[in-house]
Amino acid sequence: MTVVQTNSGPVRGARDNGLAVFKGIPYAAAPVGDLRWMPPQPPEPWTETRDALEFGNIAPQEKSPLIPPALLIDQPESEDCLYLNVTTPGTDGGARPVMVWIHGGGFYIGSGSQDLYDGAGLASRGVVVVTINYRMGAFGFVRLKELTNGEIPSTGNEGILDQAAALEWVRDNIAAFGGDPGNVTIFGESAGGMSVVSLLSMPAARGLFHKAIVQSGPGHTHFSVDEALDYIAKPMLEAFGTRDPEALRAARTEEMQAAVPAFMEAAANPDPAIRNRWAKPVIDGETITGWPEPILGSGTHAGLPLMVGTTRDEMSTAALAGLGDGDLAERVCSLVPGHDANALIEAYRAARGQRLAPVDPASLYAAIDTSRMMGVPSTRLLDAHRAHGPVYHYVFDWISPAMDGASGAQHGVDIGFVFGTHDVTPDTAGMFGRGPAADALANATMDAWTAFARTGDPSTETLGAWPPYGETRATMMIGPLAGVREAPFEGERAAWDGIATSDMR
Amino acid sequence: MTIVRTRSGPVRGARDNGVSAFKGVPYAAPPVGELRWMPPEPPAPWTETRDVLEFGNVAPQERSPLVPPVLVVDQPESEDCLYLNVYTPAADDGARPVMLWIHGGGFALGAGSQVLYEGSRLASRGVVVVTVNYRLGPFGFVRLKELTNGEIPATGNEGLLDQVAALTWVRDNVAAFGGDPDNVTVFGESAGGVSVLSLMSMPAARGLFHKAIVQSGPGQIAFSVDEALEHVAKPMLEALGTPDPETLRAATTARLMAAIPQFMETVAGSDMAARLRWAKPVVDGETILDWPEPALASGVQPGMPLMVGTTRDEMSQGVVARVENREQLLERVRVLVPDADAAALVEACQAAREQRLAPVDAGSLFAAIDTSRYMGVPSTRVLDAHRPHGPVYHYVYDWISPQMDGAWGSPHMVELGFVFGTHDATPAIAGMCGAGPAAEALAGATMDAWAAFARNGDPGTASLGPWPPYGETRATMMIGPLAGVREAPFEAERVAWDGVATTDMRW
Repeated sequence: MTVVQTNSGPVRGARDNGLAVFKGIPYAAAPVGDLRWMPPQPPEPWTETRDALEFGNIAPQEKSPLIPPALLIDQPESEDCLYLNVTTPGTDGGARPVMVWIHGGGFYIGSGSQDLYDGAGLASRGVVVVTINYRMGAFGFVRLKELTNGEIPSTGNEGILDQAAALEWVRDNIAAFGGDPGNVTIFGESAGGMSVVSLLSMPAARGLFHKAIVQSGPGHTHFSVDEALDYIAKPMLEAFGTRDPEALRAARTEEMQAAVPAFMEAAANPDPAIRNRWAKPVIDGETITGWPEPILGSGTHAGLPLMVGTTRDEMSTAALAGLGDGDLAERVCSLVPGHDANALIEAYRAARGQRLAPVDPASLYAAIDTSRMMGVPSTRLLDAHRAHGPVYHYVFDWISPAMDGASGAQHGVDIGFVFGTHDVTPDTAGMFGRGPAADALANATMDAWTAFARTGDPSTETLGAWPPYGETRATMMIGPLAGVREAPFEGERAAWDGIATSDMR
Repeated sequence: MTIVRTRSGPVRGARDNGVSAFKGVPYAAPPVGELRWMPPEPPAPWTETRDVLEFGNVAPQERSPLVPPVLVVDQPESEDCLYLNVYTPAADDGARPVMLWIHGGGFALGAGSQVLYEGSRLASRGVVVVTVNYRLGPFGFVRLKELTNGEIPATGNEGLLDQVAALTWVRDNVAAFGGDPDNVTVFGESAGGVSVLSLMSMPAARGLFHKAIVQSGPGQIAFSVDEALEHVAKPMLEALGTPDPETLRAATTARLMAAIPQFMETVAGSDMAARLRWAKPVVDGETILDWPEPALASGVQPGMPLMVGTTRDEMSQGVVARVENREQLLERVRVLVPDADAAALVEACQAAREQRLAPVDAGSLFAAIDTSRYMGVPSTRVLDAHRPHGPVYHYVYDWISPQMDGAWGSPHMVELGFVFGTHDATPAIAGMCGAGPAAEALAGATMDAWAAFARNGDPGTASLGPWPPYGETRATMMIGPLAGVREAPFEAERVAWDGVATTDMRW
């Protein structure tokens, strides 16, 4: 047992395998009652040592059959969910690099306490790992300000404000956990990556972190205020039947949660225009001041090391079986209205054909959609920031063993390797892998991530020297054929050159 | 430099990275002139120290653009090709396990000197690795006995007799290279795996090896005498225009090589199956006693540890594009196994793949069915045949090749770079196998298991884990991204063939 004094009170953590683990530390007041939809407030202080041996409640979330077993969480849900977890090699004056993980899950599922995000593997490399919960869906990403005449002043970014509050907690407390508040890396995947991008565009988060890793979440899909109102807030209030602030604040968690299946349906909708209308951060010009590309391009984060990457096959072909050539053209047209869909298709056919990758309509569509949603906006983020700070790019192309490999290097296939949790359960092993090759990939990935957190340069012995993403577009391929490649998938990237990022949403 | 005295004379090898390599050591007399098509003879002895720093000639073979870059052989070709290479941690009296590698290439291509088979990294695990050349195609696998009234007594197994001669050389000389002549493992892939199975039924090879590893070796494809004559010897002599022994012996290497494409065109044409009915071992009842399954079932190798395995998607290359719908699929399966219930095979395969969400398009189903037919099922049957008589181990290599963004799955040959740790030796090989930490670790673990098997007949290791024998539960080591022991993987696909005789799974 180890006791650490936080600004709010003493906490007692457990020692495990040379690490100290603190679970379920409150970093903000429970956002319930009058605090529902409000910005996070400081936690109530305590004086008696508080056991931090169990994870805190997770945010209310959907338990849907659409959620892969590897991502399921078996912990109690509550709106009282603003807890974080710290894993550290030592609660001493070690001033180690700090890595704060922001989980993904479309801003409506997930938690920092998922088995997948166990920080032990990273922490054993000499960093302090912090995983956090934040409000989601109906509680964290609904803009009610306009619809309640300001009585509920929510911006639709409360979930992101929770993340900023967690970063403040880190600034104020992490030294006592052996971490260096002057060297904090934020990293996240999918919605977590989009969160990292949001924090880069948030005045409230300025100075709270010093390095950033964006995994498969370039953030170009954020909402405008109008979109946030039209796609989320209005339909939710309609479903709920009233805009009365009193009634809204008094509603039971389950009643509000009932609005969430609508998000889920949207997320699973084959029509990309609908699919992307789920909970998302809102560019309101105040909490989040603009779109990530122009923000970074303006040099808001001079000197900040930034790593951005994607998996090779983010958009799976699974739902596309039987897609014909005609369907392909039609669907690509709907992805990029006003642009030359056939030119895109032919560019992809040529680029993939050259490396003998499949060029059936489903594979082409999935590849085009992967570029649109993930690949191209990610390299554009790097291009925007590279005049202002060191930038690093990776493509994770480890092919998941699921479906005999047919899902390719799917969305999320990086997570188990970033945490070394690839084989913690049979389900995760089925998604990521197990055994000597998977173990080695996990070790190399963790080495690179922690090297980046330590020095801002992800080069390591195991994965090799990792040059910045400059003119040659040097990219670390992380998978069965690992190593630096210059401008991989260049034909695909260049095919989007005439298309604005705002048309890729 | 290290000098070792062999029975034929002293040889000088090179030392590099803790391993001594002896390349191009002659293990038999050049099979040229009068010795063409004859069983291998002992090499002429020498007295002055012979430098063995360069690989020997490789057997004459087709250089076709169809040969994938990973299989390209750099050395000059000559019928004078009976050379072997030794990689050893030390030429001392260490009595290390010996692993003799028999290369694949359809009995028509390949050499022990391919970059893919560079033996240093395997040797650095404390074993002595020997790679051999043997006669191929028209020089090593043509039965001329009957067609020349015995004047050229070739059985059609001369290439295998070369392998036996190499094993004899190992018995007589490997101790001086730090190897244990009483602990010799033969291992080979594809035609090399078929060779290993053939050696198990060869009286001439008895006692020369003690363990065997068959990688993707469909031993059921061996010819009967009649088949050897009909499919190879007669068409070749026809293409050459004469059965006259004098003329045949006098023919240039090039003339004999030219006979191959010639008869391929006339006999096989566009029939791919017929094209595969080319050079193969001949079950003549003398040099080779029987096909592997009945031979092993009769207990021909009591007590011998045997490891057999395949890659998950052996037959994925190229077939997918050509089978586009269910009709074509059924038709192609009927051609493969005319006496089997094609629809039932397709149903079983589809159901099994659907259960694990693997692709079930017609091309994928055909590739999977053909993989079971040609490789998977005959391999487990070989294990079933031998398991009352000795320890048996089964693996399925399911590492997904990075080539084509993974579209080929785990194709034929994908394990080779990992068995030798040469997965990243050239860009072409890295493209097939992989590179970097994951590939490196898989290579390390694979070499550990292979060397452990050679050492004590049990491939269990710390890196890949304990590896139980293939018994009632059909325990199988999966070697790939999701590695570990699984009981009866792909069981439904295996059982679907229960009513089909192995003799119906040949070409």
